[in-house]
Amino acid sequence: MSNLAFVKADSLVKEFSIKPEGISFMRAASVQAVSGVSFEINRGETFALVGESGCGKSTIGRLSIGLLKPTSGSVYIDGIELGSLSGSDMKRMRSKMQIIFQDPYSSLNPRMRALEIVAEPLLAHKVYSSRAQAMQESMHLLEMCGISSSLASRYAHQFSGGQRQRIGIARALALRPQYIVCDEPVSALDVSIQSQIINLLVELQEMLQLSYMFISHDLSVVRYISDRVCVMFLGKVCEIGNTNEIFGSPRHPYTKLLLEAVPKADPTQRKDKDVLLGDMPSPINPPSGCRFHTRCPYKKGICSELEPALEIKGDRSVACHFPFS
Amino acid sequence: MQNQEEALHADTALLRIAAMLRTDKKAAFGAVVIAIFILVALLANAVSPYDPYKIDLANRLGPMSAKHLAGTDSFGRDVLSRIFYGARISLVIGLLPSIIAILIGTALGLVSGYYGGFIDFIIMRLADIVLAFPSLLLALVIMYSLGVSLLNLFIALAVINWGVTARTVRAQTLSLREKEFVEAARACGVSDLAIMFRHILPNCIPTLLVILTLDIPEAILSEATLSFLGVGAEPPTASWGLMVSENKQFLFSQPWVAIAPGIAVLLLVISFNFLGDGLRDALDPFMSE
Amino acid sequence: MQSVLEIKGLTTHIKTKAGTIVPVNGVSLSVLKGEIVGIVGESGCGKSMMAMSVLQLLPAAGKIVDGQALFEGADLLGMNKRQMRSIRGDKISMVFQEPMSSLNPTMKVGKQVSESLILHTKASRAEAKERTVQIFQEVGIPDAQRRYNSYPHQLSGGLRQRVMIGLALALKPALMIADEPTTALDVTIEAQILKLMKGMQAASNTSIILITHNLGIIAELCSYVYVMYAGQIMEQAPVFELFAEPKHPYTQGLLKSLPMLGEHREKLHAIPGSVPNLASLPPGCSFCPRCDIATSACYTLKPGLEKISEARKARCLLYSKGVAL
Repeated sequence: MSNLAFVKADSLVKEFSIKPEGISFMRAASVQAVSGVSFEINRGETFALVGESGCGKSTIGRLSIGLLKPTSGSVYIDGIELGSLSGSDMKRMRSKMQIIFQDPYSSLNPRMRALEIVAEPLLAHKVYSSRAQAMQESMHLLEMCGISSSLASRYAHQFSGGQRQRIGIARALALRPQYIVCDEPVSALDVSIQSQIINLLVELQEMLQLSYMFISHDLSVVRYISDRVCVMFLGKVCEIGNTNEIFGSPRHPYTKLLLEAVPKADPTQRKDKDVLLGDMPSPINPPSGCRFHTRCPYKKGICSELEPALEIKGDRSVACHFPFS
Repeated sequence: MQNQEEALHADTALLRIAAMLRTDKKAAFGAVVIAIFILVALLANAVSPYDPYKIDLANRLGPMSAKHLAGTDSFGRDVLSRIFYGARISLVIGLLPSIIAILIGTALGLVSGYYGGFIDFIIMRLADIVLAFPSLLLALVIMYSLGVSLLNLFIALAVINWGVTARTVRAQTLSLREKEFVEAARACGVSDLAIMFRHILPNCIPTLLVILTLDIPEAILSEATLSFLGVGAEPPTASWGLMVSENKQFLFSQPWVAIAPGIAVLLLVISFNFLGDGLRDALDPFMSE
Repeated sequence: MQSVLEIKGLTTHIKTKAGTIVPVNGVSLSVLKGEIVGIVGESGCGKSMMAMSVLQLLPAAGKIVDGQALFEGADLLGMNKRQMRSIRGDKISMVFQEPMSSLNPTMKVGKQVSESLILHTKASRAEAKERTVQIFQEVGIPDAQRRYNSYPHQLSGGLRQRVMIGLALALKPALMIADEPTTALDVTIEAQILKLMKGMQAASNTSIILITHNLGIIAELCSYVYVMYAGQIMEQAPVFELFAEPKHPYTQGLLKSLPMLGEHREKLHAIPGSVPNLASLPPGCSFCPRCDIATSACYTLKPGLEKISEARKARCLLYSKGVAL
């Protein structure tokens, strides 16, 4: 299994300091956004990170491509540890891993044309000897992502949200990466456009043998697109496993309640569901023991005292004292 | 069809400015007035009816007439001719130091905002010092210590103005730095310098234009003020500020000698403001739908 | 049953740089007492503008040019500002997507609710405070006494939305208009808010107009649904019938493009093209450029909203003759 892994994250921890800018007399406090997360992503696989806001999923995505440096722990891409690379080696490494963003409005520079946006990585890495060749390749990438060449000289804001997302995808593909982090790529799009982009991502994956990390809070989309899922709560992994197994028989109470909370587009399935109690606890001051215990309807005494370890059983891991079987 | 599309979107900054001038009447007015002032300044010796320095004591404080359209001053010099020559000083003083201040402020603001940390701390404290002094007082101090000359006036006006630009550009850089397109550029391995110049700077341009259109009139006014106070242009130079200053005691008896250069200042300042507003809208990609 | 709100032929114009657009184009709908009516549509379909028109909260460039909105027999559109103010908040209340922007950031949340009670019911200060704490408890705000003195920014998104709903329900309005009330919230919090709204509606027989892009929410909560596209109602039907057998090609496409939690389909159905631009709509049916089954007639005839069964209508040439241009 692990010899297939293209991305490997080992006990990643990321702390952000929350002190005001400049020189101040306040003691620097820090928030642990990611607390000891390990996972592997195989070649050609779609690995989904699921969780609610503040669970650390976007931070993990950025850690996994070296856009952020972990406080401790390491990321290996194709067997090479990112932390060990020098500046120029890192730049070369960047062409193997890319990212697609959530917000199609802030992810493209409003003062650049579509063609220039997609050509920029090619020019920065001097992939082609001439600018004209880079532009030609950029045109080709745009067409591959469904943007007709007649639109290539438009500015980013002259496109619709879905088209902008296609441009973002074309840019991510420019350096022929093998691994792409998709950070909520369809959550800002209209329903009728979402499926266009999902289909495009799936087609590109098949064509180019890409590995995806698919970050999303939309469980229906994750269910559709991913091979394996990692459910996170407040910087920790609740459960990792095969998508069908996790959705079919969730073992962690959070996974189960998250699945139940999704409104189903079928009025015949209406039922009075158990809703998850209370609010997300603060990451500045996480609950003792199991971080989920304050919201868990199934908690017992031990849950508030002892943090459950991630119990690994074959391809399925769960961190709960009393998992469902 | 395809050609039409391309023509439609092959827009350049120049074409957009041209389109703006066709529709925005205020901006067009500003542009025309500024153009006229520039022409007059360049051709001052050709268009001026009299020598601006020629003293004619027989004709002191003459009223507006067919011979002297804006009257004559206390030395009998033709006011209109002096205004034409004065346009040279006002335009140069308005444009050069403002542009220098904007360049300095932009560079420092970009570096400060993008890198943060210690560099940011130093640059911002320097800006605080410049901003903490009343700008006119600072200019006076500089002029007194360097001596009264046109070059020193440039320096003084540039020094008092860079702080605002630096602070504004830094604030914009801080927010742009967090934008996903900057993150995307970093993920692609684009260098810091290229990110600053290709991704951050162009998005600051509308703000910079606004600052420039505020700075230019301010510099014109500062020059007028400093000359009025006696540390700017020196008599007998034809400078609008100096003209108001020299003739202020006749404001109630023979008002044209002081009011005419005042109107010139007003017209030029308003024109820059109008043009600036129009330019900002024209260069903002979100407005060009 | 008696209808609370009856909108007839509402048409709203908005002046933009690109010319006058018609975000609401002859919309008619009715809301019965105690009913939850859903309005579903994608961005720019006019669903929010419709609600704003009814409450006379249009932006300065907007203008109602035709139609009636009969609320308890009186036409809201003909009312002056003072009459309208006494209806808003008292008899009709609104909940918006972003609670932060509808709450006054400089005022304690408890105070905001009690002020409105004092204003509309002439309660004394002490009574209003007592009632507010009670309302906070009803909408599930934990520690209601203490939260009374919190400022909006001190509350989480979920709690803020509860305050908004508390504010909306404080005066026991006959009608509540909720515009994307859970879009900014996490799934588990969304489930809490939806459950709360449903409970409130059942307890006090308030009618609700629920505006959303999320078909899942519609399926779970509403009894009758209007589907909007480009300023017009494309289809209207009781919720079970709509989801069981959508009649309009647009509704069919929307439902088919949703990835479902329960199954793993091969390829997602996608509606081609982009969400329409109201400034340049096609001359015939506004959906025809994206429609799978459009014929040449669709480009030249405007379909009317025709009755297709006892409780259903659809705007498509499949069911209507259409009007020549």
